[in-house]
Amino acid sequence: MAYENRDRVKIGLEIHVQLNRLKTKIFCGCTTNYHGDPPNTHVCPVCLGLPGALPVVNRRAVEYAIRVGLALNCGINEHTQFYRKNYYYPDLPRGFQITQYDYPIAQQGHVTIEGEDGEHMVRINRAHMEEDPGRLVHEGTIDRSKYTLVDYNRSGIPLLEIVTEPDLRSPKEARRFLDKLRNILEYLGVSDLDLEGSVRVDANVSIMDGNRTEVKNISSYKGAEKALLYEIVRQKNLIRRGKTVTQETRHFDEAREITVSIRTKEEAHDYRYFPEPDLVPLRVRDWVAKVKEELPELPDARKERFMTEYGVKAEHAKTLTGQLKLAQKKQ
Amino acid sequence: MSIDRVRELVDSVGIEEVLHRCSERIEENKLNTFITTDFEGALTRARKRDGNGGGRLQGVPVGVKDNISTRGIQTTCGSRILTGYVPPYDACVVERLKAEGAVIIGKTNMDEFAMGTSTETSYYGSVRNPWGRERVPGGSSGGSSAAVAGGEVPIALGSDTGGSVRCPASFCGVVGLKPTYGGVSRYGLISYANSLEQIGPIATSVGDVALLFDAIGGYDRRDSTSAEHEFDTSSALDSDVGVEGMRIGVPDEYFGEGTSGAVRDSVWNAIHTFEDLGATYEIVSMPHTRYALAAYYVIAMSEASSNLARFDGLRYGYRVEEGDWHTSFSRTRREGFGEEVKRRILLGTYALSAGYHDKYYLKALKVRTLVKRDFETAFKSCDLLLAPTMPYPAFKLGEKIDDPLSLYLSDVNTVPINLAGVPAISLPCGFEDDLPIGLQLIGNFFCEPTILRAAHCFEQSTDFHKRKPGDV
Ligand SMILES: [Zn+2]
Repeated sequence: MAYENRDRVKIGLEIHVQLNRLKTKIFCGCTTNYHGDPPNTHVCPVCLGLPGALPVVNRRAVEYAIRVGLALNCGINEHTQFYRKNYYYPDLPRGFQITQYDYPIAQQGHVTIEGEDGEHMVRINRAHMEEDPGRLVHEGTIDRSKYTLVDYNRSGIPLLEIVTEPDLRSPKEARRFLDKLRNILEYLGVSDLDLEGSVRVDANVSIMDGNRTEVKNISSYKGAEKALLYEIVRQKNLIRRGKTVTQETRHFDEAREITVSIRTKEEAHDYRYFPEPDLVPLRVRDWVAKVKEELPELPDARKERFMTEYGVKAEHAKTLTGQLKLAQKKQ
Repeated sequence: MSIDRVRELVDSVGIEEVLHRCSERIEENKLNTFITTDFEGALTRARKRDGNGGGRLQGVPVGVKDNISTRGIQTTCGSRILTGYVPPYDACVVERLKAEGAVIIGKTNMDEFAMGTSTETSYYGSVRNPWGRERVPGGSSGGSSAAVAGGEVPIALGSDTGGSVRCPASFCGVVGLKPTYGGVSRYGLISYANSLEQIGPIATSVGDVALLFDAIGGYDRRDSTSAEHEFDTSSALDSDVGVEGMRIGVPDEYFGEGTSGAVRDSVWNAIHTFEDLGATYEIVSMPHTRYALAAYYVIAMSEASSNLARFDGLRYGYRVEEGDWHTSFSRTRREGFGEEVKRRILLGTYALSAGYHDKYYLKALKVRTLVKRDFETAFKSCDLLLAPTMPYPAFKLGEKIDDPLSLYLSDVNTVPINLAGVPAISLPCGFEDDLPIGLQLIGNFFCEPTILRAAHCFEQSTDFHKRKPGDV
């Protein structure tokens, strides 16, 4: 039976994944293994944004990004380019973030999940590379602290931002998509997802073809479902009372399990994107074949194989391949 | 003074005496050429290298423009906002100079963040021109050029975003080279407009400029825009190979309305000198030249608005501590930047903002492509292009500083070269009222050897470079 989606819920996700299995940062030679180390010990002129220091693209980071792009059935752009996203924040040492805009590394893919009514295809809009900013550290709690400190150990950790089309029809589907993505990333070996801050999710939510809100700061998979449930109920209540949903950015308060407005459309940033003049466009066409060769067997393919080779039932095959460690044991 | 002469002096009187004479000359001249000098450090570094020398610049004092990072020596970019900033690392060119045995004696004065044509926007005061103390030295590498012209150092490094090496070389009667984009590593050069600028050598002769270029140029993996190209500068100055048969293009558009009569005459005399040496010339047209200036300023200011965002007082340099972070960084920037820098940040921010991006920034990029095409067309029939560097000799201090538009207009012959990314050299070719006039030779991409050879031949056949400030 086809899923009705009576409230016409549309959810799109933006998932930031740290490619923290790489040894070095995206534009310099500093280590990505900073967890637990004293602040500002894994920094250099490049990731501190010191005047005159120039970024150089970590080739392995691009290969990892291609790997993910291929696994998400994306097309890999022959030429890929970096852009500057200009905004001020103390954790951003250059006053701009080096990211991608036009010509991202991967575009137009899809992932199939177990949807509300059987197999459901979620389109991937793009996956692009960028650098993680530093981290603000407050003494005690954020509202009590008299000052803020900045730790740049995280500055320059390679990130991949994966953007889906608004094809998810319920919080449950969103969670399933995230589970599936997690599974794929584990298989690819590009990211240790257990590390704190390794995955951050933003969600775009609309119902009844109304305005959409962007919910930021979803840091856990469980949080995603809760944030979306709350946001959908909030929008429903507004519409029931004859009000319209404001297009805005909302922050998910994990402790209270609610979303709060932080910025309306009028206050939206103008990031003044333009091509990063310090990095020439990369011609990656010739890299793709090599990456393809290195690509491990992915969960869907392995599930098929378990079913045909070992005669495992579909349900069991799914459980087995759903976790990399289990799947490896079975082999 | 030439590199050879200085090396002889180092051998005869010793490095300490040579450095002492540099320091004395700076004191006597009072041109305000240096923001920071470090003679003590220079002597220590020179002594450390004693014995294991063999570099081509062994013991040669050098001035480095203050937007090039030097480990352990304050680097301000001529701005208040970087007061007290001491880089923890050396720029690529500084490493290469040190490897050749050169001794960095200090950091030269410049327009704030290289934004200017007269070295009058420096937070550390204007530089005076040794040819006339009431005249500007040109900019933005005014400190480097005036220091070389004034005999304070034999060689210096400048940077050229829209003429900042060639303009002051022209105004100070010395030789300055703007290399092909990608020819010299920008690693450690504090960016004003990344896609346009190159570090360039300044000296009293073409030979010394060639040697200095050879020392600092070449591929560097830390600069992604650096080219994997091997320059052959040594054979460029081979006296057996002249300019016989060389085809020179003279772009009509570079002799615009504002060009002084003496500049026009001197440059035409230079053309005839080349004819006498066996070269031929033809008038060429570069029709997009008149749009170059506007496109240049839009691109340069756009890039600058982003490049200068990092100066917030949080990590280094000048800092106003007041209120929360927003207040603090706003105050820091308000007090730390000068008027011209603020003007360019504002205009650049505007040109990149939503709704204006296509109208200004994107359009400027299109013009840039057309300007580049003009050069490609010209180089199909010419080996090099020849034009005045500046439309007039050095103007008076204060004459143009309150009229930014007139200052911008004086860059009309230098900025198209940066938009295209080709190399160009400026060298002395005459005088007007005892002020030097500069001749600009423009080459095709990576054809530094061609323009160096032509410049060298011209220098060998003329006496303009022999005249020093103060001789009349
Ligand atoms: Zn680093």
